[in-house]
Amino acid sequence: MRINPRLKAFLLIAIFLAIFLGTLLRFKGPASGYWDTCIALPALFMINQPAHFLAKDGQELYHYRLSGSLPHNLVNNDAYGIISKDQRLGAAVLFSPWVLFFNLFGFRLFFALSVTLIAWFVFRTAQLFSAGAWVGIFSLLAATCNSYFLSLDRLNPNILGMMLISLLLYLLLSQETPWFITGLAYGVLCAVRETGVLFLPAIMYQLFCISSHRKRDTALFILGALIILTQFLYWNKFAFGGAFIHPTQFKGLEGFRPVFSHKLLFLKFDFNGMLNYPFYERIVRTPYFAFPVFLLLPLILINSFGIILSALVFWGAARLFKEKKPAFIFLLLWFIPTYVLFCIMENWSMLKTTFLLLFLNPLVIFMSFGLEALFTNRHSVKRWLGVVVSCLVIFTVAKALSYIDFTVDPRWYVRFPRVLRAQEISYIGDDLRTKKEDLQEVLAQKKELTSANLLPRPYRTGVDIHAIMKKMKSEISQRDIAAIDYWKYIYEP
Amino acid sequence: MYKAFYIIFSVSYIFCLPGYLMSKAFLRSREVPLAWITGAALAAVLLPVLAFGLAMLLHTVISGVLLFSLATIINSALLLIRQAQRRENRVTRGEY
Repeated sequence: MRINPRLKAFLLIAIFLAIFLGTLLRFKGPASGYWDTCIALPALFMINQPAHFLAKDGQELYHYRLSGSLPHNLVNNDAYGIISKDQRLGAAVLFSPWVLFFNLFGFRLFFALSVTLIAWFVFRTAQLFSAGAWVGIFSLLAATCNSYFLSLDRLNPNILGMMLISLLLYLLLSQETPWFITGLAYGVLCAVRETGVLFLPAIMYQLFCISSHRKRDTALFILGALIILTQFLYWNKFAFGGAFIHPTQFKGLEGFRPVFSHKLLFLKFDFNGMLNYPFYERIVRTPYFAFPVFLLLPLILINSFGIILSALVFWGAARLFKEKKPAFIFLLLWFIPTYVLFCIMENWSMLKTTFLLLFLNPLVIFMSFGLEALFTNRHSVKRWLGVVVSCLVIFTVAKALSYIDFTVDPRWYVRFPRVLRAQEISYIGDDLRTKKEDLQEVLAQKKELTSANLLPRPYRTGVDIHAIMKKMKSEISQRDIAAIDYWKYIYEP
Repeated sequence: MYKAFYIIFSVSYIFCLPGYLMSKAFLRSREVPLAWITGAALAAVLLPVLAFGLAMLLHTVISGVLLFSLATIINSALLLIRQAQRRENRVTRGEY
């Protein structure tokens, strides 16, 4: 199907504008939850703007005094002190200039810009595989207008991560990759999400596949990445005492952080996280969640996209393998390490579920390729049969999973012992770790995730335009912020 | 009014101009709007990170002055790269 170029341009502008305005309106505002406070507050400190920290009852906790220079504004042992809170700085750095110019509205603006850029680069990447504009439009809508993505309305480093991944995938899959620029973008991705290191095998594969000057391009890529990463390695050295330390492993982190013994074959080690099987003796699930993470993440995606679009992912992957093997291997190398890393993790939370955004792009590419392959030869019974069989397999697996019960991870209650002690635990923000597990909620979640809906789940929300406009107006002139110290309540023993 | 002008000028100079120059210097093979948007996206993520590094080095905070100075350095560097590329193209075409 060919679209008239003028109509195409008009349609695209309308879609991108709708995505931008929709995101601008659905944004909840900075520092309204746990993770977004971890972005908003450091961003303010970087531009020398102090903030108020409150207890959950509204009492002021800290009188934050900024020293007026970086990195010292972020390290303050007498008051808040970012280094003891397990806060990653990458996302905060990206927001800080926008807040400098647009005050608190800067958070909303860059959030909306990031989502629009995701849509733009997904569209362009899909166009690398397809001549028709409609496949690109389908891809950008699948990536940014699915019900899961639309439910994300707060600052989240994984949304920035997905934006950078969309940019990187576009640069890497286009035939003339500018390797220095790609290195710079990769450096920013690693600064925002340390898991960016898992994409290195895919990038190296692409470099060796498409580059005709491998040595020169490798050097340019490494140079670009190092220019960006040096600054964060310096921050790590300054704040945590080691350039290559992961912030979660810093000894001075606030809160109760017991270590658990893990074992893989003959390898035994202690770790302050909770890994699932095969590092643990059996497959377990985190309280509040019906499934272990390796099933939870795909089920959330199937629930959001519906069975038909999910089947197109498999169909598209198979077609891509047949028709464009190097691109298929590259996307698989991009997807598998990240998915495997999150598969073995437990101690899960609703916020951590957004990590699936880091491997969503390859799935959307497979999906759009599957759709195009299906419609370019729409009279092929074999192709339709393949999609129907894929739908049936996904439906059967989802329904079968509804009959399986997984045991709760007992280590979780060792890490958060007050859940067992207290009868009532007040609910703070959007993190579940401050309230007891409700079995009815878990069963309802299980029913929802295994409902195996054919079509994408619709997203319903009530938007009070008048209230949002009022809030935006106040954000434009306001830079002062009062935030609850969520960390204190989540990790107190 | 003055503030609105300042913001428009700042965003243009700190994000849009480096984005445009980056698209000219590094993304020449792509169609124009695509190159511009890619360049602007790169500028939007690179400038803050470089400003953060520079602020740590100079023991200051991320401010308008710092961002303007950094944007000036980057814009000048990109202009020099572009000029060198043009010269190389002329040599290749045999104009010298």
